[in-house]
Amino acid sequence: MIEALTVVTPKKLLDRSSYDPNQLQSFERVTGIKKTRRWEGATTELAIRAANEHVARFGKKDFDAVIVVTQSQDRCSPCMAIEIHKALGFPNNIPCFDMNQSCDGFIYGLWVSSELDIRRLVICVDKLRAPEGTLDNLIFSDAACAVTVNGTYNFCSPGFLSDGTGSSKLCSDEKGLLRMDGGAVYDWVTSNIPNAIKAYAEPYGPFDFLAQHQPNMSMIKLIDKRSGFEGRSLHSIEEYGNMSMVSIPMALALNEEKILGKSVLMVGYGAGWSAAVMGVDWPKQRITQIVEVD
Amino acid sequence: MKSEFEVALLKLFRINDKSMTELTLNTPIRFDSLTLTELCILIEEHFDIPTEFAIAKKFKTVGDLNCYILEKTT
Repeated sequence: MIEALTVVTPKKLLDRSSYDPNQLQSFERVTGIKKTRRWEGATTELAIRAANEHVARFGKKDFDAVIVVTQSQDRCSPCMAIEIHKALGFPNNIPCFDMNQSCDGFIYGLWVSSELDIRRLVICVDKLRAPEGTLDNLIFSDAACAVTVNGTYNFCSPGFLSDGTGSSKLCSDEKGLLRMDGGAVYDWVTSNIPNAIKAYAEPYGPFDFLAQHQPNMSMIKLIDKRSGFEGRSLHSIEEYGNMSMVSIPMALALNEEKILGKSVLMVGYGAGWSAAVMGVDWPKQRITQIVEVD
Repeated sequence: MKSEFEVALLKLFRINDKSMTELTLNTPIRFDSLTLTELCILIEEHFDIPTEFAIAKKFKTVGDLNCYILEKTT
């Protein structure tokens, strides 16, 4: 089960003053994104910050593994998990490893960690950049979350959708900048995700709420409508933007009061035309915190 | 008297050309990707026709758009 969840987001906002006001207005109307949050330090530092805030609030439990999910590693080697392990002073006899996953990474992290019958610290962190000055660069906010996962009893088995045909439509270039064909993303997501939600909800549902990835408000609303979750969907995009794999935990934490004791269907989707769906029964008492950091 | 859809459509055109006051069947559609996304949403909201971006990209004029809507609704 998810025992505790910390979401960390930078206080610093990206300056939008150099953008054309007309374009900006159109961007805000379509995406709903009013703020873009930026972390100037390394991704690993943001991940460590999330882990530190997490243990400070929820206690330094006897973690038996550290798992990091990210697609914005500062470097390929060593893995980020071992650096978090060192920074937090965990014992030397536990496994530490990274997973490279996109906006469905939170669900992949929960799934992999739930396969290990031990108490895990799962960190999801991303710091995506599109080319400077483009509207795409306003979409992605930096964020990290830390989750204590122990046992599986409030999860349903996950469902997956993997279709690599769109790999070139949403991918990082040789400089690590994100390149996106927005129209292709829109078409793949709005055509496939509502059906994936319905197919999953049939055997495992009904679910009280939907916590989907937060790509942009137009897509979110269409998916809410087409999947039958209008008015029962958790949003975080206006204040926090598209936080990649941290979007779902942010939506859960931000709306936690609503979901106490309720069932939530989580769905993440993104790069590589990849998606993951998982149901969760949320505990009856609060288990989350949101921390804004400098 | 313009329909609600026509009023909304004209608003989309006016994002990049404030001088535009009227649409004809020959009015060319030259939208950027954000505005095209808005067009897809507009069609679904007004006519309940789920429209892919790739389809909307093919509309060259308002006449093409009208034909598409007519085909889907009749």
